[in-house]
Amino acid sequence: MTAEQVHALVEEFVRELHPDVSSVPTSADLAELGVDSLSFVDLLSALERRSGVEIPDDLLPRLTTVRDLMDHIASRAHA
Amino acid sequence: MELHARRSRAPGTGRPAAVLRGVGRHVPAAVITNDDLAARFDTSDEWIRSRTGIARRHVVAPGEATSDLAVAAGRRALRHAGLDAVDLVLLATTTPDRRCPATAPVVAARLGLAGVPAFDVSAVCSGFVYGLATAGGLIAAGTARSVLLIGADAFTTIVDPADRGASSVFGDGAGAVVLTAGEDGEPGALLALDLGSDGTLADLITVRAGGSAEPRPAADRPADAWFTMHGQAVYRHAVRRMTASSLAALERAGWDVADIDRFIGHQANRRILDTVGLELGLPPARVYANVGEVGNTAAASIPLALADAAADGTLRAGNRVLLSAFGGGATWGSAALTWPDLPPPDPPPVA
Repeated sequence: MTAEQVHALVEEFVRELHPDVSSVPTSADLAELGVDSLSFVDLLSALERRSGVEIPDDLLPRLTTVRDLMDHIASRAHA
Repeated sequence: MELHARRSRAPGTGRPAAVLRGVGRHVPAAVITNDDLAARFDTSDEWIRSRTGIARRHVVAPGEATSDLAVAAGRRALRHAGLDAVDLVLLATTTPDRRCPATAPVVAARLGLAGVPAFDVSAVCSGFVYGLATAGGLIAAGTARSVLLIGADAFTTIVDPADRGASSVFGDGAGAVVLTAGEDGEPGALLALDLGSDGTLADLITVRAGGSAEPRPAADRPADAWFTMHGQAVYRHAVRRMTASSLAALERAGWDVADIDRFIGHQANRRILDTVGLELGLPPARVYANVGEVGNTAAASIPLALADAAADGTLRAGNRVLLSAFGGGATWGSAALTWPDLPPPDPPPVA
């Protein structure tokens, strides 16, 4: 999964939660985009499923922006 | 680390099955609404509802203990089953009246059952499902012909009053069932069980101090005296484990997901229940929730939900019911049974 694909999935997820969100920049903080703590876990599940990359529990507090997710997953995904 | 209980009775073994004969429930009188919490914390009714689905929770008064809740629920379950006595009392709890001894003997004695074997089952929010497995095994082995299994917790006694998150989620209460020896395959018989644990996740849901490892909170760690929970990690593990365990129990019962009439999961929070339902592919209407009215009552949550669902007409004779829980330990478990034809239990409480 490429960084762009991660971005696209995050964008789709955020729009489903909040249809009125105008843009999902990579620098955006997920909490500020209205992704609450449990929705964040739902987003991780979707990303794990699509990418095959497992995200360990202890990393959760450090993944706060869209860019953090793109970097973590794109660097570990096989394809 | 993983344990899989077998069917309560393999066909043709001649061992009695554990059959559910009655349910009962009790919650303490005092209620904390979301507005009450908003007066104490930086929070709001909308914030709590959207994240947990919880509107109110019942809490014990000072001096009111887990045994008080357990006795009241146990008495109702016995009455519902039409029994005055049972051979054995099990209490699933994480908040015993005292660190020593167990609370089940006190509960049994107060129910007029002094003399019967009675012990506590400790598996936090999975305690009731673990208790079902224990009761089923004791009945199959012939150790007891009838068991009163109570799930009761006064979790608000271990939650830091300054903890906004945990105070929003947890409530106190008790639920109970009576199981007696019966025929394999009869309505109400425990059909299938799945249990598991993973102690590498012990820190996920914990009260660190008060046990042998740290008898009193260390001077520099006063928070160790209180319950702590890593909410995000609990949510993801709960969804994964409850989903997988549900599927394992279904397979042993010989049921498909489409066969489930009612899914009664541990009422931790509305989001977990909905997401597990989604993962299983269950129509939302089959996922039962009373968490909005009572909050997360730990070991009490599944039997409380059973009693409420039986009283409000959600559970009907012949319904295929799947129970599933995840809790501290980490522990998890699921059970399948067909709901028996029972008289209407006590009406549900006034909201």
